[in-house]
Amino acid sequence: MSAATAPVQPAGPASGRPPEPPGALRAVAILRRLTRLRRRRAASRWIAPALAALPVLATGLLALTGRWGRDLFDHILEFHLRFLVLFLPALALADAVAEEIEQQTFTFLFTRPAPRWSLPIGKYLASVPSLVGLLSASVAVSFAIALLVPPAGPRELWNELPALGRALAAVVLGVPAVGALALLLGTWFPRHPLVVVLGFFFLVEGVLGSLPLLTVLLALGWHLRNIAQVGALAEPPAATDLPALTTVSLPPLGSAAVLLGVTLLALVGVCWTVRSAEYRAGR
Amino acid sequence: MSRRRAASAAGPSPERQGASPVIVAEGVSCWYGPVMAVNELSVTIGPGITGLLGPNGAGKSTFMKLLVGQLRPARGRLTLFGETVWGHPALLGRVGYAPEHESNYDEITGLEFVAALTELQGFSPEEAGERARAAIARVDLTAAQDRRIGEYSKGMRQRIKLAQAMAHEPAVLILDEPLSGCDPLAKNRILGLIRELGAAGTTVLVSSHVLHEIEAMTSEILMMDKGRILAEGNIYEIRDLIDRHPHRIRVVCDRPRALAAALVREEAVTSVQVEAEALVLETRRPDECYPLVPRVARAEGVHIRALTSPDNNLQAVFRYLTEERARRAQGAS
Repeated sequence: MSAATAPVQPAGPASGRPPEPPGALRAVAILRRLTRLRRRRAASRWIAPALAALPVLATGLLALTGRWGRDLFDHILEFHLRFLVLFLPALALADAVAEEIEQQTFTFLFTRPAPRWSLPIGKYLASVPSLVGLLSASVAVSFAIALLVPPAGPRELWNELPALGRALAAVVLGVPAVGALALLLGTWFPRHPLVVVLGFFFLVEGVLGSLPLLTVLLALGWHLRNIAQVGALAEPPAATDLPALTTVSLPPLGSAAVLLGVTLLALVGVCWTVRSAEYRAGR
Repeated sequence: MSRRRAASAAGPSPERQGASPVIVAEGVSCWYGPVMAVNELSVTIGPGITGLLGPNGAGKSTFMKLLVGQLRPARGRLTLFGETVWGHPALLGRVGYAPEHESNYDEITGLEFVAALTELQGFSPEEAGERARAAIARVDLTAAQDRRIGEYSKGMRQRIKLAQAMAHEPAVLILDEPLSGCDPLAKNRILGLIRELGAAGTTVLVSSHVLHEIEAMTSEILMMDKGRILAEGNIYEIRDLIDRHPHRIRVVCDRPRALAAALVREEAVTSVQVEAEALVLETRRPDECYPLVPRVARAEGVHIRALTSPDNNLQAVFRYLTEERARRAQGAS
């Protein structure tokens, strides 16, 4: 082997100093733009709008059969909060890092002087605002249909606006939390990330979240319904001989704090994981 | 075969020995689970083009991934411009990397792809766009720059990868099998481009498992096998190694026994084995043997249907060098 001498700066056109590496926010913005561009052209771009349209259609159909008012809206909102707010962010973000590893496209991004975490965060910011907008629109239109069809009318709609506000708050806080959790799980388990995320939600939301125990506090769906005050949570706890554990209650603001905490912790976890991971796809 | 320099033991060529290093690897090892992909690798690479040769699984791509900070050396030290690569993303501003795989963002256009990645190097959107267009023009893809990458052929994908690697004019360019899948025209274009970059002072490390591809770009090569550097130096020295190792030539003909009897008398032929419709001769002077066989066949009235060499590939040279090294190690112990 040749003896090592002092390193040199190469001559020629390549010798000019490279520009300052992009700041973290700039890198996030570039990757967000790139992700949005790809999403807009992907064949799967219709899935989220189609699913978000389902409750609107259902509200319209149920209205035609004579159902109306707050009762109809609450039923439809349960579908939003139990299914769409959990499923759509998971679908959009579970494989955010995994798809880059599987297709090996991360090699183009992680060999740039930008922080690695700008990739998942850029993807997160490309998906979450549009999903919040989509689901908020779906909730608002469902609300309008339920509260405007006769015998309801503008007066009922006006009176029930606080319910819509609570529902929108649940969507605005829930989508980022679910998205961040899905992103974290998908980053930890890049093989079959969607299966892992849906399995996790089935276990925590479907099983633990349904038990009449403190475990409901682990379920994001419970907090969503707590903020929106729908379903059984809207009812005052019935007098019962069962132990106090079965009557879990938390102020809606507490649930909002839980969702914000989950969002922040999950995003920090994602950044920490990606920061120093060695991805060995292609071997 | 022409020789510009007498055969010598593997090692960096004299002009390289004086060059200042850009890439320095000292005892670098990297594992994939229980498999050691790079094994105690020590090498110094200076400005200009260096070809990294080796069969599949030799550790070339792993070495390149270590160089661009995608993998962390399990042992040893790897530096670029004197700085450790792993954990120093700012260093990547001076590196361009074209990976071996063909996967890409199929939904976006070639121009959008190169421009976005150039922006990630720290350029403004306008400058990144200009640089992306210029780089795409250099790889002769301007006509297709607004088409989605999903519609690109394999050769076009190679060229767009090359464009993204060089759009920011890096000081070090790491190209993993950049000619694979390219048609001859594209190959020539890329070869010319790599030579231009090397002549301009860029440190280019380019891998291939095809000797003549590397030969067309540079005479400085590193030969890798099983995660180690087998030989390092000038390509003509490697050519000599190829010539020195026993070389087999398979001749398919109508009367193999008659031809074998005539060939065995020739000095350049070490041994001959006869098969049903062919013969396999062994020689240490293949340059002499290739014209000799048809000449003898003509004289004997033998009709040759095919003349091939199972050893005329890098795999055979790697095998030979590996055995040679094992022999030397045994001798030393």
